[in-house]
Amino acid sequence: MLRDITIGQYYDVDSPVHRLDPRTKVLGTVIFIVGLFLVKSFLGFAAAGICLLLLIRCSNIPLKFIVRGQKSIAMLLLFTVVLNMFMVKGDVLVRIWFLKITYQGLYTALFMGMRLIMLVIGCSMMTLTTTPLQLTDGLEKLLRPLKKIKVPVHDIAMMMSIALRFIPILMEETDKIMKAQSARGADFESGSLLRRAKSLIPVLVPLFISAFRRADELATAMEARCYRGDEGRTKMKELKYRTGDYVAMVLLLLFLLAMIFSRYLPGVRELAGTVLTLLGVR
Amino acid sequence: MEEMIKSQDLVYIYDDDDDQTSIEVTASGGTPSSESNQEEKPHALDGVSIQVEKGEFVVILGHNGSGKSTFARHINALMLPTEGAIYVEGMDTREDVNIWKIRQKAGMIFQNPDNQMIASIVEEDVAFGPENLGIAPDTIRVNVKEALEAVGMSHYKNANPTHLSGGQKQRIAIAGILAMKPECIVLDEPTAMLDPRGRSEVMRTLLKLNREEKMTVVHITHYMEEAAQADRVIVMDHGKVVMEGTPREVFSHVEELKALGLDVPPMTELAFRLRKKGIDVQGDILTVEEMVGALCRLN
Repeated sequence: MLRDITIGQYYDVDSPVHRLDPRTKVLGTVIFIVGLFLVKSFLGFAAAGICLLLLIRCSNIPLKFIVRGQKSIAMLLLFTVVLNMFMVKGDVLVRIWFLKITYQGLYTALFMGMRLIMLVIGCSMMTLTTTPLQLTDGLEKLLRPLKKIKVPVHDIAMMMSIALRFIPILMEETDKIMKAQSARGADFESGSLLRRAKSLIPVLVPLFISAFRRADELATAMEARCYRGDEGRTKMKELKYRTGDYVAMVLLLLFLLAMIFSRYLPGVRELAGTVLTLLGVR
Repeated sequence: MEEMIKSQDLVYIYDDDDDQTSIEVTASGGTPSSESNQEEKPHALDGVSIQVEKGEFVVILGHNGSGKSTFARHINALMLPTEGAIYVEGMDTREDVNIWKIRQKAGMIFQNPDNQMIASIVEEDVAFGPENLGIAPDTIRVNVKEALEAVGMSHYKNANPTHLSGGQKQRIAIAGILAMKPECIVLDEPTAMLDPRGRSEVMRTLLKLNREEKMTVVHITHYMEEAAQADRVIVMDHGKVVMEGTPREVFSHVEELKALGLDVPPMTELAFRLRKKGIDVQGDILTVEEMVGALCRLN
């Protein structure tokens, strides 16, 4: 069950999206996120959703696989939606005891839900189509200018790629430890929230110890393979922008413009109206 | 033959605490010290002199804490000797300028296959070493391809190591070292966490590299069947070399090995027991085939 999480997992097929330069995909994801936060209407969300579906289509990754990966955020999603539904003040639609569902609340909840789902799918599209190493290479190159102000860009990139490599391993390990503890009578499912949180301690302690041991061994192994930071280091796969990347950039720009337009559409209309009336008056 | 690795009176003492180390150093210099102190700070290596020739397949045996892993780490300059010296192709590990050259010449494989892989794609992991050496991208590609072919894992070049078996992961780790074009591979119990099939995969790969590519192999293991296939076996105990010779020579000392807490290959054990019962099987037996031959000769 823990291995179903698709964030940070690469889906190995060939597609135009897979072939894009990681830098394009990182920038694309940022643009997509900005776009999602700009959107304020259902029409905008629909447009973003269609773009996302088209992207999935192009990436040759089965939709089912992506949907299954979203299970892990279901709780978070539910929490956000419910919280928004009840907490936002406004015109009351339904009243259950002291809880009120307002029109505005429902509206915000729906927006938040959609935004969250698309956010997660958008980000996992990046990791599904890019190998972690490519991704960190891309980030490293994108952030290279920061090196001038002494930001350890290479180190950060290396840490990220190692973290991504070890996520599935640590997941599996958590699974194993939990089973081992259950076999000895540990109970993770019943009791109050506090009790359940407490029962996780015997899982977390061995997990941390093991993670530290792994880190130590990995560091030794890296040293044995002549790792010494980024000085004098080359890359087997050098990053290069290709035609596809330029096409993608143009599409992304269009997407961003569309999102901006959808947000300020009423404003634009108003502006146009004022201009027209002004012109009419003249 | 040229020598690949040469250690001279190698001594290594763990120092968790600097003050205590200085006491220990004087102790090893001849000043008598209390028993308890000696026990607290044992010499992980105590005057180890080993020579490994180029193209040799050497197995180092020893139970836990015998100093065999510590020795392996000295070859790679991951640990530096407290006393004595170790040379890899004539380069002293104590000199900083040599470290990277030594690590490229004598690649190292560790026990846990998961904890020595950096990348989530096989090919990119194999490329990690040569990338660190600053080799040109095109050459790296060639090296990686050859290395994966040498360990028979070319089909898996785009796979995620998480989904591979232990034996396969260990072969990828070996490829990662091969891509750096080393002269020698040092393996620190690479088969300890593997199932029998994974063990034989790794062993076959190592033997092939040794026979076909003339790779020097220093293999540390618990498994006597693996030791039986080596050119030379070195047995360590309490930081000292206690036995050395061809597998046949070493395994003929069944009782001494048992006293050291080690086993002998199953067939050697059987021959030993048969002899004890008065059945005179001839020769130093290591494999089932040899056993069959010896038993047939009895009648």
